[in-house]
Amino acid sequence: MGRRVSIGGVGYLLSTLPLFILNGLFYAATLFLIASGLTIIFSVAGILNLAHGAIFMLGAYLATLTMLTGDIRLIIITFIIVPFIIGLIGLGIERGLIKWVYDRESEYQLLLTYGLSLVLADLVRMMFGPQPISASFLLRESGVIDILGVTYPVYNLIVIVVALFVGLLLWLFLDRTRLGWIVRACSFDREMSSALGVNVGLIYAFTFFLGSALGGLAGALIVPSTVAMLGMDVNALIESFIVIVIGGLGSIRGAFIGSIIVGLVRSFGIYFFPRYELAFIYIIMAVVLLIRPRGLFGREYRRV
Amino acid sequence: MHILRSIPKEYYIPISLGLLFLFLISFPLIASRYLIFLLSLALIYAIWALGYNFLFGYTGLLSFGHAAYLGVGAYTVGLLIARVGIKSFEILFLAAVLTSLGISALIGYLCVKYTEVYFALLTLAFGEFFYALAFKLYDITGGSDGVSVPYPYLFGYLMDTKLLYYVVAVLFVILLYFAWKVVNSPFGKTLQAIREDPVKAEFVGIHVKRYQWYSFILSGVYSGIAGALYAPLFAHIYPDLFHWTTSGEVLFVTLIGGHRMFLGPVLGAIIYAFLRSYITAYTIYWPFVLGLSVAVIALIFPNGIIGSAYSFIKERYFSKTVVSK
Repeated sequence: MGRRVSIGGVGYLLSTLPLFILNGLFYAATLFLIASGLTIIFSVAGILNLAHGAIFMLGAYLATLTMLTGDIRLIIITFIIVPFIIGLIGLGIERGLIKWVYDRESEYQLLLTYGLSLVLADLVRMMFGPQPISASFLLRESGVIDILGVTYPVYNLIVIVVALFVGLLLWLFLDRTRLGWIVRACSFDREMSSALGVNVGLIYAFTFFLGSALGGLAGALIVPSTVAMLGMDVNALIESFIVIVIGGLGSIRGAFIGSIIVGLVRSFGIYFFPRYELAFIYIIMAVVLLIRPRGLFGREYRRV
Repeated sequence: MHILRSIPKEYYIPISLGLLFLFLISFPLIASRYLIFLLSLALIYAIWALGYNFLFGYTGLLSFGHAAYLGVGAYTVGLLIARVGIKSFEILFLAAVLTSLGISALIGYLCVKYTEVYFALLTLAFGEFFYALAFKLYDITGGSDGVSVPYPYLFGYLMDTKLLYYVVAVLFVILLYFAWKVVNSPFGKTLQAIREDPVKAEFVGIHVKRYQWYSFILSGVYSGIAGALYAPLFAHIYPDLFHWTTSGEVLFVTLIGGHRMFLGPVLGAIIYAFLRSYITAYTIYWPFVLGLSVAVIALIFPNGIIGSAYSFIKERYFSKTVVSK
């Protein structure tokens, strides 16, 4: 049951309001990175990558390897190396397996990525064991800061800033660079892009690299303030689905707004109705589905 | 062959069902307790997969959340026995049918608005909702430990493993016959028309979304019945019943058998139950095996393993037209 809000409780609520908002934004930050990776892959290659959650989990587990050493330089490099490695794994999966099912019915594409997801998740269990791995070195070392009247870990703030920065870079890339234009052209019309001389296969491969790298970055970022554990893959996948449904499939802006909504609702929900917070998110999703089926920012869903 | 030909064609189905029923009923006379348990499990999976295949094989909608309805059936029965104290299986069974009907109608209504990728995504998301619910409502559901389920009573008789087996066998034969009737009815043909081409189906005046919804509900109820039998078989309910790997199991069962064949899911279920009991004895990495098989089937055997073998043999040896190159 929710905590009773008395008169004194209102004052308490106001004073802790920034805390909820910051927690919500921190949560939204990682969610945005995961969901934007998923949505980029979908909008360009037309594949709903069910293995994306496992990719994220793999990123988190790989990051624990260096985080546990406590060497600060090594840890900083981790945030570049891990996304790169995970991106390469995504690229390998695309070139090795997914490439063969582009022309098949969507059921087979889903089955393939579903199978891959189980395999990857179990590989993580084989390599790292079933116990959760905590590597909070960075969270402890970066200390806390007084902000808006509450004490908050600096590391979480950094994560929020990094996610905003990555989102900005992503937008600049897709909107202002030549490669970004080509990527968007492929997402609109594959055959026309191909006819205009774009190597569509290469763009798909690049998209898988980029999307997986974003998932890997989210995994590396989340490790210091939580733990790397089995099952985080499915949770991340489902939550980014919800983000995508609210924001609209195939829209980075939608992923951005959707993750902020989900993040804030969760952060407030956990405090007031700890047992029903999840229900709120699903109710919001159901309402969006009923009122605006393609999501807040989604374009008309159409596969050519 | 002579005798077979003298039987009129319309008796084939009742006779084969009768023979199947006789076999299933006499099975406990020769089998060990463990084999009875395994066959019960296989038949429960067969019921579940038959229901699942209404949606996947016959309507062409791929759901990743059908563990939800199995779990709803199992939790309805389990919680009513353990928490409310209702011991009569007739009532429990009815309750499981009703809850799975209600929940699949509600979720199905939202999901069938979409097709293909979006449908898969939504079924998966709603399926995981129940998984989270089973954890969070721990004072009712027992959280991650689940709840142990005492034996219910059927018409006053204690439903132990053996009686449960008979109940499962009888229900299986009834539901198999019903499924056969459904897929060969105008309703079933309508579903297949939708699978082949939803746009054309809409043009000839079929209300596509409504039929997809009906198919969703039908498969939800079959899943609920399977769940209602699953809970007393394991004498335990636990949140993993709702997990997406459980949804993957029914998918796997349907795929090894072949979703394009009516009996595919049944064959798949029998193979699966025995395969799983052997594989889990050797390795704890069952999800790895499961995932690898699903990926391989998706890449290489689009009609399922038995289905592909069947069409291969049919084409190779029983093809009436000779294709010359």
